[in-house]
Amino acid sequence: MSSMVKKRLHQGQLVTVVSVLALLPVQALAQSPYVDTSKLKPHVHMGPPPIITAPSHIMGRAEHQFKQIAVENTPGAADKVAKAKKSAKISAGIDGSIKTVAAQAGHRGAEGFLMGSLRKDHAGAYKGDDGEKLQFGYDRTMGQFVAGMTPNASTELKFVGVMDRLSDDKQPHHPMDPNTTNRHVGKGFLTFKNIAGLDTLQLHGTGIDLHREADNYSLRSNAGTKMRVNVDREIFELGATGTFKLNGFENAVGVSVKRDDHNAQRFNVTAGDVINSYRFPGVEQTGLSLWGDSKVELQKGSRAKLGLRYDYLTAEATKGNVTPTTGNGFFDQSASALYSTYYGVNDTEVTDHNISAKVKLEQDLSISNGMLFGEIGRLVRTPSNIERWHALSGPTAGRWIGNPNLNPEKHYKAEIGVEFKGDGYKAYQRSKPEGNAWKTKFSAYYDKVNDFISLDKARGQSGVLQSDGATVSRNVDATLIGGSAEFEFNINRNLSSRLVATYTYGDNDTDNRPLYQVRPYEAYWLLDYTDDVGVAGTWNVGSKVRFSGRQDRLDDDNSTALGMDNDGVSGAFTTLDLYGGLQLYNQVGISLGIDNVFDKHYNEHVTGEHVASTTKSAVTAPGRTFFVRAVANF
Amino acid sequence: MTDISRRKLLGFSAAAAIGASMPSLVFANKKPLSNLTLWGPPVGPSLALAHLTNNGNTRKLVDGLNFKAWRTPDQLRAGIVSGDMQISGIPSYVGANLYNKGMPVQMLNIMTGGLLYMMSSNDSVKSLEDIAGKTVTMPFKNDMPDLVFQYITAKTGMKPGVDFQLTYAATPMEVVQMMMIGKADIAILPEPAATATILKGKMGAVNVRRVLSIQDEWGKATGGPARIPQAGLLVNKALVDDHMDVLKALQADCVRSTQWVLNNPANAGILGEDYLGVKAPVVELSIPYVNLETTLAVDAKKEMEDFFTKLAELSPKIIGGKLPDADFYIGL
Repeated sequence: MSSMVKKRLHQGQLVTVVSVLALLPVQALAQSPYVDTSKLKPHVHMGPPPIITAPSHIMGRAEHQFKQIAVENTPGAADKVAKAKKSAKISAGIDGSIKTVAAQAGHRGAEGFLMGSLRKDHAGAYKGDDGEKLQFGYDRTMGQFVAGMTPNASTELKFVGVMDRLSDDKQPHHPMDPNTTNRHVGKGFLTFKNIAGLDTLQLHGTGIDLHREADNYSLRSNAGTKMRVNVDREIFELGATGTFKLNGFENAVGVSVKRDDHNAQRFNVTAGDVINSYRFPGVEQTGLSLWGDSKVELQKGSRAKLGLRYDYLTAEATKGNVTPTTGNGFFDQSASALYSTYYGVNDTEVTDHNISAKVKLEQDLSISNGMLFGEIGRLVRTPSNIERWHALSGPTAGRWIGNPNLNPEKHYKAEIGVEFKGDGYKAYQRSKPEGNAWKTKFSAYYDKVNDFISLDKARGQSGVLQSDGATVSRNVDATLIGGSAEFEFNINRNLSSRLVATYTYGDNDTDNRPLYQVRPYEAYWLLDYTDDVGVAGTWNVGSKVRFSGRQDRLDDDNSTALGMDNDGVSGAFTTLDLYGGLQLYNQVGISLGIDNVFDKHYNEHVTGEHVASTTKSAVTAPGRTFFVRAVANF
Repeated sequence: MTDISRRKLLGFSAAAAIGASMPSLVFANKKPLSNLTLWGPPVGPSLALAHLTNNGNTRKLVDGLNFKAWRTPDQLRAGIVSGDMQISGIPSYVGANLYNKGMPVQMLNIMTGGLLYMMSSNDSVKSLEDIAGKTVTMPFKNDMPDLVFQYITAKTGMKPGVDFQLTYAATPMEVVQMMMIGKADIAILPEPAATATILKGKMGAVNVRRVLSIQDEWGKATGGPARIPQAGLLVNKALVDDHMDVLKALQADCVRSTQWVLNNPANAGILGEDYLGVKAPVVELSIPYVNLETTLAVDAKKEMEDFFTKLAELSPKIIGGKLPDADFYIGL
């Protein structure tokens, strides 16, 4: 289903396309495996927001933690300026309380290519439900460069560097603010064609450095105990991928090794800046992944794809036995002691052997360019560090203890979908000269999850030895079901409309209760018009109606469950966005609009977390918001 | 007179012809025109045709104005001869040939001043004279690129087969591929194939340069402007007789849409991908080199006659044995 709904622009992954300028190639940086377990994430995202990569620097809307929409406004006239094949581009704008400036430049020749991109966002407070300004805001600087050499037609060497520095990230719903989140990513790719019997051979390496600082006094007044947290994480990965054809099968095989070091400590500043918790106690992980994919055309109009993957991981909390020395018994407990207290686990070294597989069949249909697909798979996810190693000591109800004893999460997932389109459909707002230009897609999935990793409160339930209300991790069985429907119609090349609807269901089968943080059903309706400005340019107007249903299946009681869900201020809500734009000579453009025209007061059911928090959050989303962005190229 | 050969019609794309068709719906002037299709090859001037079918004023006079790209010379030839293609993009000299053969056709306009370029991956090639002793590859033997190139080289005193070698390929894209794999290093190509060569070369570590404009060389060789009235719209005479109002609107739209394409290359690139099947970046980056400008045929008469005369020096059969008379050039 996820493919049916466009993700927010800022949610691009690092390994996706980085082609932002005319002369850079549109090609994947890495040859991604079909079974990619690294993309499996915990049920709830808790941590820094996704990195915004260069393709979204110039025109992408700023990330907003408390406004989470699945379907963006349709790109308008000004986006053509941003995407024009020019060497340099700049943009600046205001989006409610967020100001943005961005610039990019690049060049590609036969011998190589170079691209640099920079963006800066400054977010300020906005009014909440009660009319008072919320403790919200951040400063964010994002940069990216891509450099490459093509010494000959068979060889390409490419480097990608990404910087994302988030500061003064105020969290109105949380007791701490991350005042520094610095992420630096470097990737290198060396690709050969037609070598050693392979069509392609790609060697790649990745280095990621994360440094994060948070406290409860720099960005807010605090007369009580001052605390701060430092987080450091370094990840290095090396890998190789080869592709080859054999007897009509297109095959790919790959191997990668990974090293991941993760440290975090909390300090009591008031008491002399002493460590009072080893939150991530020197977690060192080493992984190995082997994978192979194959795809084949079974017969005309019928295709099959198969993938197999093995992930090995060994991990250890190297500082598991280090005990804080604050003199307060609630805090002075080592990670190992906490694991033992809550789960009876005495070994801080674990090993996972995960085997995943997936197969997909596609069948072209004889009516309306139809295509039917079905996919089944077993996908295994290793627990995240928060789920497995978190060791936040303190008063019992405030503790958050990961579980080294967790089993990897096993998804047995089946998905089916069908798509039809008219002969004249090329894309939304793009019609061919002949034929009806419409498209419709439906898909649904059923995901039976064994050993689903659930956050919970310690109540002495199976596998948990305490009943003190601390946040814990445990394996349960769960069921996830979802579906989506989408219809697009280009009435003509000027006027188009689009409907998207999604539904998700989640249940904790073991405890017979709803899963927390399951998105309510949603629907989006977009209507877009575009036309010429004489012979000089183009303009567009559009509207987007978003309807979000009320999520009645809640996990909102922390005495019987996790208690993370909040019924919200408004439950179901409907918002209207109006937007438009103008561009002249494909060189200058302006995009502007009003989000939430009727100033609807609402909050998202799924809380947008920049921090690890399981407490209820009901932060009001922005009300009526004006935005404008100017863009130019050279 | 020479026949309109398949190869010659293939040359339309090399010469950036533009076309149109109306399937047997020529009525009296008082009846509204319906289902008029403009035909054109997958090259730059067709962008203006594609644009005007969506945004032009001609739509007010025609119930169902469409654009179609013709894909094969056989399709084009059959369409013109049968009359199904009532308006068709075509190299100007081919239009003259058809007219002189007695076909009921007239030229409405010229939409490009030439879009032929010499491309090279050989660093030593910087001028026309540098092809001496080397091999030049081009599509469409004995058609537009070849004829023009023959005329230019002859004026410089160079003889193919003696001072340089000429090899031919069936299509422009075949020449592009030959350059990518090192089987050719000097080529005469029309747009957008010329731009495609540069972009593909950048992806494949082949440094292809636009060495010179054939239009410039034509100007030097003829002593005239650096411009070749290469292609425009050929219209069925019945349409001229019965629907001059539509042609007037169409000509005005061609002028307007040509300017829109020049002003909005990124938008035109997407339009080109959707309507012509050529990748948007290639279309976008080729537009500055297509020399798009729309001139009414009667206003381009002298320039076209000069062009036809020069081609006739190679062989009068190229234009059907004589210059077309004044009736060939539509005046609105």
